[in-house]
Amino acid sequence: MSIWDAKAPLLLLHRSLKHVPDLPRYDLMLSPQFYVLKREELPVKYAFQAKKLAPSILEDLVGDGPVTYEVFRDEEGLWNFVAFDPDAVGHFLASRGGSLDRVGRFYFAEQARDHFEPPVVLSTSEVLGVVNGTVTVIPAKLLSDSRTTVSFDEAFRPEQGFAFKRSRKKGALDGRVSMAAAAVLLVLGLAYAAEGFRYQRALQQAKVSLENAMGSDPTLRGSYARDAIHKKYRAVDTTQRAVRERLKALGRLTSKVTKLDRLTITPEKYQAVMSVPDDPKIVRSLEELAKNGHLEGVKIASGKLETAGGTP
Amino acid sequence: MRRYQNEWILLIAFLVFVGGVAYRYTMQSRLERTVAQASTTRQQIQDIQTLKKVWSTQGLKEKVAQLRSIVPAGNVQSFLQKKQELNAEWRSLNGQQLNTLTTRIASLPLQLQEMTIERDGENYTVRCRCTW
Repeated sequence: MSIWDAKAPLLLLHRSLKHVPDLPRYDLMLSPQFYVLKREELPVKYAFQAKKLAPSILEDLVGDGPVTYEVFRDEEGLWNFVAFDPDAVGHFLASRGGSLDRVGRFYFAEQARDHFEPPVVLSTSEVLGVVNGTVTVIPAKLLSDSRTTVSFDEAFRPEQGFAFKRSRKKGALDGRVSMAAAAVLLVLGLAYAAEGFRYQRALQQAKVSLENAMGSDPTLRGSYARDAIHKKYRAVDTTQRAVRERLKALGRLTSKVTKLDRLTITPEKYQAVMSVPDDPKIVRSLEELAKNGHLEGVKIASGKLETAGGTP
Repeated sequence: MRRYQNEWILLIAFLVFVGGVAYRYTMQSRLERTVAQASTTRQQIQDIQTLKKVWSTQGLKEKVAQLRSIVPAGNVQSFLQKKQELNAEWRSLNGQQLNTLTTRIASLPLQLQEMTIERDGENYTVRCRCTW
């Protein structure tokens, strides 16, 4: 017994019922007016197996509406296949001031067959009794006056109860679909989390690697200090290499016949004048050398080579 | 509550899923950032160490002092070496001496602030200001 139906009173639901008591929770016993029943002897052991057979066994007895199937075994060991429309039950309950949301467990009158002998009075015109071994609504006038009747009470409650499964019409999700979707989402979520955990471990290793990369020099630990040191050294390296490249390129232009007259070089700019012979062959060779040395503004005229530019 | 238990379960599962996805992508993003940062830092430190080695001033003072004796003393017009700066002038250098001197200066890890070379006939005058 679950906490839901621990103290819920048991009500007998039948068509003659005028009003459902205003209780926060209750369990229901459905009269045969709300279900169809077929009793079969089948060589199946478990209820879930029998339940799979219910649609085919009750095929001729149910209409096109939404149907829920339930099975239970009676004292003789026969399988009782039951079909009912939960929406119809819900509508009837609502029309009598009740609500399907307040129902904990429900039962079929057939489950308490032994208790309906003698019959239970439903109204002035109807009783619920057993006819040919099946619980049936019987017109009251068919009973002899001397025949006794009993009141419906908690003693009628069978051991096995059922729970209402909501239909989609009520706006609730189908149980199996939602459980399957939830399972898939959970598995995916956990798989993602596991992958995230792997990334987190790799992240910790990467942080250790970063610490190691910084080495033992404390001046290189701060990114601002490191950037400043790097920038300073890089600037010196770039400009001084450029100065030396210019010196080297100008040095290549000098020879026994070409002489350097004047040179001024700083990290920002350079200017050089050279004396060169008027030999076109030598002039072409000098032009080629100057081009290869990336010297700028090279002018050769009147035995003088002039070049000036900046240092990159 | 019970009526919507399927929805609740689905909602919780969805939240677990969203949480898992968010956690995974956050961690991946952080890892990528840290790995990139580690790579940059390692490269930068390596660069600094190489540059420090190239432009190392260890023993430089002595090497700079040798520039005075690389040519005959008569050619050294002035040689002022103080702190981390050199101001020097060499005069009447022949072509070979000029080559030797400029090659030597260029090979030292000095920061050449200004150098002028002037020719007078077959002789050269070199003025140089360097720091380190």
